[in-house]
Amino acid sequence: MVACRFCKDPECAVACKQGALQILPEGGVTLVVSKCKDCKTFECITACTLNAITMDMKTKLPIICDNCGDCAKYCPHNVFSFKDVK
Amino acid sequence: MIRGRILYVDLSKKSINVVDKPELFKKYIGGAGVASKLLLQESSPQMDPFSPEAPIIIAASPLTAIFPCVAKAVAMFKSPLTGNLGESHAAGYFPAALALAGYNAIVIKGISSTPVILEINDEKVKIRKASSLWGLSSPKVEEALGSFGQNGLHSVISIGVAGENQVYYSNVMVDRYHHFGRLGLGAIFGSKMLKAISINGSEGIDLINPLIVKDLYEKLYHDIVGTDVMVKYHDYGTPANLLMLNELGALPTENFRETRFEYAEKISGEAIAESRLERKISCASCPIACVHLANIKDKFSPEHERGLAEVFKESKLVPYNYEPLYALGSNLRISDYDGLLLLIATCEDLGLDAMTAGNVLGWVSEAFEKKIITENETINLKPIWGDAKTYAIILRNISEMKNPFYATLARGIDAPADKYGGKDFAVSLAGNGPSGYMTGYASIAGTIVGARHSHLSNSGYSYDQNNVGKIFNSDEIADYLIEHEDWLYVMYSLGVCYFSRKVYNKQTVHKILAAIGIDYDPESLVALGKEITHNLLRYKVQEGFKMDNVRIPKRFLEPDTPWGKLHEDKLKMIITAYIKKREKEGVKLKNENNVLKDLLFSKKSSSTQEDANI
Repeated sequence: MVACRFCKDPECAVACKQGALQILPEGGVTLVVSKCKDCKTFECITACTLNAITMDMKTKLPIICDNCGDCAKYCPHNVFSFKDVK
Repeated sequence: MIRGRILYVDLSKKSINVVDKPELFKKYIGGAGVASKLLLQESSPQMDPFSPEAPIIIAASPLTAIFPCVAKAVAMFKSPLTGNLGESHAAGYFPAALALAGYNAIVIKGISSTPVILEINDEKVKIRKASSLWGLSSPKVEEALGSFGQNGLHSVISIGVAGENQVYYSNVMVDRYHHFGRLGLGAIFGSKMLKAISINGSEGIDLINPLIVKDLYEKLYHDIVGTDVMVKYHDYGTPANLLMLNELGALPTENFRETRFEYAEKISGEAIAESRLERKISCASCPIACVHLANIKDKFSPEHERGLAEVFKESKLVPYNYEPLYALGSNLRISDYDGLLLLIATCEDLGLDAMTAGNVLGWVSEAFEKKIITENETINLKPIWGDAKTYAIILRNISEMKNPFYATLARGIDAPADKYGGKDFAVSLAGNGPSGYMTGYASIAGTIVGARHSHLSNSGYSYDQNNVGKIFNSDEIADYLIEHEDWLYVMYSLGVCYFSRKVYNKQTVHKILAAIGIDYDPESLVALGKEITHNLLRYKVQEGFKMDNVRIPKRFLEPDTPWGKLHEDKLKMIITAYIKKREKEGVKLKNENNVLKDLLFSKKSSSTQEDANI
């Protein structure tokens, strides 16, 4: 299982030429949908060395983790944990 | 055809260059020979190991992936642990993948401003941002980097948290179960913000004489698999040494206080094989499979099991060989294999050299026992002999440098002894953690004079074992060490695994080199080994190594060995004889004021046309 680790200096944001991935102060990125267009290469997906970004085939938009914590909350086996990083 | 292709990477400038140096490889073959030459070329004297200019050199051999058991690459760098030569060997798939991608060596300099990985996909080489991998363990990094590339051989080498935090004895994990283990290469990767190198090699290797290669391969394969020369490495592997050395009275126990361990059987290779051995694996192009993997059961995290949490355990494969069994086992009086395997697994997870880590823990336990350190330093931990769980927490605290005490422990065995005391039982030789062979004089003296301070520098332990009861003769021991050192450095340049050294004799080496287009008659090979050793000794002296002045901690003189209690004056006699003989060969090892001058002079005067080419 792979999940976004909310990098302070995320490679996906640098790779996106449209500037559609905005870096959040606490780490990680948010997708600005209006800017994510005309992109046929999806470099955000290949840039993430952890492979934490996948594509939504219906909307043709990358699925960007928005840090909600639901995966950790609803995994009874603690496969994911949600904690502050330095 | 010898291409001798070197990949030069500068992480500061983000530049990648490829240079072919066939003459360098024709002369020094590869591995330690080429790496030592490149290290001298790429380093300026007395550089800071963590400076951008400090190079990481990794050289394989043009014979890699062609002949059986020719599987090793040699890394050279400035070691933060000893402040001198860093030399570490590893195999796995890495050397073969590098060869199949078309390269014989890599030189890495510079420091990246953000975490990166180096991605080599045949001729396509990229420095990739990798913030998302920073903070992960090597096994997790390998999962993330998966089987990148469409075909060919894939290999990943990477550092764990200890390397990121520049622990002086952090290692580089190679393909999950192998390591560039010694002298702190992990810390150098960490200082350069280089998390991993991922290689996909699919180009193949051109042979000039495929039929001759096939014939030679056939013979070598028979010698390796069809005789009993190497079978011990597959059976129990090097862990079989534990009981043998215990019987002999040469097994370091309780921080080298003793040389026999009453619970040796409980942590022996035989005991682990019987109950925990799961698989044996090989490096690329080796038919032996000497790497033993134990299946350990570890508790799930507290929330992982809601019901019978105490009953269910998670499985994990842990590689083990003799050295970690001694360093983290008898050396710490660990009396059950599960505790011992837990400590090895912890080192794997953090990316620590299990040997030096064991020696550091040995000092910690004894210093705590003698009240040199207290719970104030350890953050309320009680490091008591045999308590694996506490030791595992200490290793984690060291890797994370939890407080100034743990940050000091992260700098090796000598640093805490210098700061807190207890030098007499700080078990290090020239800064490095020793191997587990208290066999006698040749083992200890050989480790001191060996360029990388390892028992594998010159096999001194083997002299000790084969000559027990003989009258001590410093001259004879020095001759033995020199003869073995010179020949081993031929092996380490060929990429031949130490375990197969008996198969690759002078005549065979001459033939396999001829088959790939390198001309070396058997006698010149010895001269080559000598030249490589000399190059390493020159580097040592350049960086301030004073062989005649190495401190021998009292602890090495206290326990019984097969040669009785060791006497310092006899160890010094061997070292003096070694120095005398090496100086006679033309290497200056004494009188440091002249050495640097000589070295600079010889560098200038030897820059002939031939040297300029390589």
